[in-house]
Amino acid sequence: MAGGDYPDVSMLKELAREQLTILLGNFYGKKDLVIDPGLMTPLDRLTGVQFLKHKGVDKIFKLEHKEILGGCDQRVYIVRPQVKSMRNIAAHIHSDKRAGKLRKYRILMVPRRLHVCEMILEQEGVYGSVQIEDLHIGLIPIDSDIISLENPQLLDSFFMEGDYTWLHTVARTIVNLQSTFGTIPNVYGQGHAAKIVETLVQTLTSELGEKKSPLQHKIGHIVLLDRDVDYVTPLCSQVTYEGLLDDIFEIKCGAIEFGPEVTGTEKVAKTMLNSEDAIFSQIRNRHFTGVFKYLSSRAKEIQANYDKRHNMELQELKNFVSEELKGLKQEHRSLTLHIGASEVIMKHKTKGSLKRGDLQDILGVEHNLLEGSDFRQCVSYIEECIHRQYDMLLTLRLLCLLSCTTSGLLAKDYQSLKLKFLHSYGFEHMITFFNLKKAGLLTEAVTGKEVAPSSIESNLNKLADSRGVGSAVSYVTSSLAALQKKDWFRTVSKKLSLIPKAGVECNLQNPNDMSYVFGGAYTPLTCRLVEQAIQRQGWGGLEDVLRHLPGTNFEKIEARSAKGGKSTVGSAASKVVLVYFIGGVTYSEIAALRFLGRQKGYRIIIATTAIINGSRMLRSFVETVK
Amino acid sequence: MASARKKTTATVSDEVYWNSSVLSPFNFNDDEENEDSIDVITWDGTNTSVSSKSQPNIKSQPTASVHGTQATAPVHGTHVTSARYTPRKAYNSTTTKLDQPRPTPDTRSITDVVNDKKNSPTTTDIVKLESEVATLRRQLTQAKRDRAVAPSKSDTLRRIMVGEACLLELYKSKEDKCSLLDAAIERFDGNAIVAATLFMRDTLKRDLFSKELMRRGAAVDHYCAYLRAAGEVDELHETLSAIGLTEEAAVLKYRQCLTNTSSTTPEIRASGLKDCIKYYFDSDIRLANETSAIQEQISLMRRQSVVDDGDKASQASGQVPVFKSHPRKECITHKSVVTTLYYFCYYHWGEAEGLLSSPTSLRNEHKIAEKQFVFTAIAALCKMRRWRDLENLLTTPRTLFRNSRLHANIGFDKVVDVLSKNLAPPDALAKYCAEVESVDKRLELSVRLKCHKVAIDTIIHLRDRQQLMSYLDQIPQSNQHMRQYLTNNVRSQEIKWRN
Repeated sequence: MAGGDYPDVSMLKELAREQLTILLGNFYGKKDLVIDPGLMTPLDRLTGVQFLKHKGVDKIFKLEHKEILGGCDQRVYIVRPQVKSMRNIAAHIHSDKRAGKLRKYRILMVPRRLHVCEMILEQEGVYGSVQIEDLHIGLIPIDSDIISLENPQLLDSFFMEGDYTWLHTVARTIVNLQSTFGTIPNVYGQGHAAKIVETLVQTLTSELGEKKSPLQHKIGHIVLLDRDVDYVTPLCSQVTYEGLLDDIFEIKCGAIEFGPEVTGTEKVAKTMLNSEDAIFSQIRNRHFTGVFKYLSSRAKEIQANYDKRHNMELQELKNFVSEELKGLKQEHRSLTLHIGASEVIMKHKTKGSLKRGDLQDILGVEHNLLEGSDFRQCVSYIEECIHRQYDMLLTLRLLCLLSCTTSGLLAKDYQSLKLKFLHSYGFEHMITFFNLKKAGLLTEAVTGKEVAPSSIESNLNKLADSRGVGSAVSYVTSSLAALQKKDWFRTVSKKLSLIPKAGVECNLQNPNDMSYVFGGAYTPLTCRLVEQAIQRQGWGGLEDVLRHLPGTNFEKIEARSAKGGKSTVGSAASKVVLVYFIGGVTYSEIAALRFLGRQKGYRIIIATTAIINGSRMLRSFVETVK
Repeated sequence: MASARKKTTATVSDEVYWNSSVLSPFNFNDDEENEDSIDVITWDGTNTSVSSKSQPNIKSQPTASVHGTQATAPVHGTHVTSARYTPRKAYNSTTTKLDQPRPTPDTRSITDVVNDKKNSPTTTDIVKLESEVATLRRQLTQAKRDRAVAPSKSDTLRRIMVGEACLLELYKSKEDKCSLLDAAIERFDGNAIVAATLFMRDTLKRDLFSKELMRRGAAVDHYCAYLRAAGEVDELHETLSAIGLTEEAAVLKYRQCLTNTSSTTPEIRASGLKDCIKYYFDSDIRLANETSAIQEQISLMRRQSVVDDGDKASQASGQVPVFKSHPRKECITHKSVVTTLYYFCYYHWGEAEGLLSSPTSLRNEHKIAEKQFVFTAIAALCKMRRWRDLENLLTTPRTLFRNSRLHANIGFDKVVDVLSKNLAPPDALAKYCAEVESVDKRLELSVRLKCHKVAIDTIIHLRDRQQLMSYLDQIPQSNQHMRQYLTNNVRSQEIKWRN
């Protein structure tokens, strides 16, 4: 119980394990497990093979569109409630039936069953053969201060298609958190999804019959933020150590795999990245320039500790071997890995390759885009990326950043860049462009003239308004209308001073400002909003800024902590903040929020639907048909 | 097993219902009550609503008695088992509703009451009975409403939200369906919105459904999300067109065409794409850019398949040297324009423009920008080690007023960058490194790429003796020639050193 009153998120893991124990225990006997590919890593994080074997699991398969050969006469599917998975399961059952195989099936849907899934099973004629259960796995603890739904799908399902289904899950997890850690008194939110989630939390709390928790609340504030409030931040290259690891090697559910280029051997090293690794927890949030220095000094210390053994008495040596050596060895291993990884990162930074420009050049372009300077130069760099067929996600990321910081491209630029892109990467990416336009990531600026007669979207909005449906206005169409706000990024970054004034150097080794996570060039908008919300205890005074952001803002304050130290009951709780990112969060934002917490004396817990970076965010919009 | 349990609970609650209900007084009421007793039956008939046959049957005997209705009860039981959802809770709640408002708990049995009336109906008795009849009639109407109209919408939506089974089939009237959907939208429950929408689709006439759907933006979004997930492309296309999202509808069809033809011959895909243009893109003037892009795609595919066939044949014949020294790795069908251009530059450099495989002809057809062409050609020629061709590419021909000279529209720093990333040999690098326009860039590149001669010359150009001296350390001992060149220059008196 480190930290005494602080909420211990690792108990969420226990809750999930308990449920799985019950559900698997109810299905008596030996059984096979078929798991949705997207759920494998999260389940691994929660349970592990050992645990499953102990619960009577025999073989474990991946759910795919192909037959599973062999296996015993009982089978459990653990899946997300998706039409595709249901069809695959139905196909399995049909093929078993044809082969005359008798099997019992259970489907555990994570986190809950959906009407559509039951309908598909019914249509496929297998509803009678399966038993469906809900497996409420919600937030998965990734680290002591990060909990994630590990459901990246929410991003395109809500922000592109306007589907509320997953917001229910977000709300449900908040309800669960409240029943464990007490009702959170202060709520601040910004965005469409945030507002809906807030409403859903209210409804669900009353409908599930959750009582106002008698517990003293352990979390004082919750901030709900939509990803589309700030697409700019995830589109920037990350320069903190953890961010770079994610950009270059990709961190999955808190774990990372280092290939031969890092380990120097042929083996692949898999390691967990969390606060338990003493060395990693020291460097994860640092700007990359500070990492090498720390690692080398650390290496010397370890060497010195090793060397101690040379002039030791026998008794001392015995102690050393039994106590210190193991720790040293562990540190040694993690040090070797991190030094290897840093070297690879350095290579990326300076050399570039056939498919990738120099990180330095890319950072330069990004900084210009954020500042709004040298527009033409940026465009021509992006053209060069297209001409040289650099990695497509890199090119797209810069294109989207260009669009997001300038509120849409001019028609002329948009068409020319699009055609060049199609030539370079394939015509099928016409669909990618359409998807990005729909999500508001890469758009054509709407000039005054064009709005009037042709814009169907605005007509649709009018239509919806005139019918008096009010809140039922389609999310997708209304967000398109919101995009017409001109130059919102400039305005907002000026008002919130996201871009430091020229000439002010940011100390990257010993930072004094959140902007250090982007080399002093930019403070993430989301993090600034969190800072403002908890400092001001609400959005008061920020109306001028929030007006420019998509979606609505709201606040609900029940416990205003007295300013000036006169805090009353729950004073510890009033310093605990839960920040929930709907649509994903990046490691840079996490680093910035950790810094904010240290600086202002808050303990910030980050909840998110998934941990993303620029590439992963865009990948969900990219067309894959060849 | 589950269905068996369902059955028993259903019948049990039925029995409870029948035992506790106070229907008895109806059956001995005078003719005036006949209408109500018909209603009793229809009410029961709606219980068994799944079988529409039972209704007229019962209606044909309007003087049905309690026994008559009881007789239908078991039938009713079997029907419940075939219903889609477990109506357990729903029944319970109705029974409790019926139980609660009963003003005077009636403990008499049916026979008691019958006997009682036959004996001596006093005026108070009659008044009492009449008031009871009135109460019961009220209750009956209430009960009818409860059961025929199904549980309240908020209850159903609550069940959907917390994941309990629910029954939508009892929402018969269009108004009910619509208000269920509206309520679901108001609650922001995506699952319920989809459920209500699909229920409406199954139970309303096509055009009525679309009309109601179009009025609700959120419902359209969810319906489309469902159609996308379920792969009902045609319906999705129709819906999108109906709400005026022609671009999305067209893109959808384009995607469908690509998916369906991903493993067919280019000819089939081309004809599919042509249809796509004809039916979905051509009609909308705002899609002009997309239309021309698809046309380009079609012509590219035609070119690719011709060249592919030709090259495959020449590689097989073994007559063409280039395919012997650099065998083809894969065919170019379905590759992008620029990748195709690279392939053409690699294998077919210098071919006459009339040939389909000529890089120039490809460039002209797709209006590839000059810069794009140069980037691609340099990379391909470098990989092929065709230095002469590369030089020609980067040379502006001699004119009346000046000699021919090296020129690159992308800048020589980029040329060198492309060459070095394609692992060009040092002398090729040095040649173009010396051409880099900006002095700083030239120095930076030459130092990084170890083009010592260029680096030394550049430093001399800068007249920086200190830097030149320190550069000596960068030249390896093995390269005595360059070290000598450097020291000679350091000593040179002809250069006006700055330091």
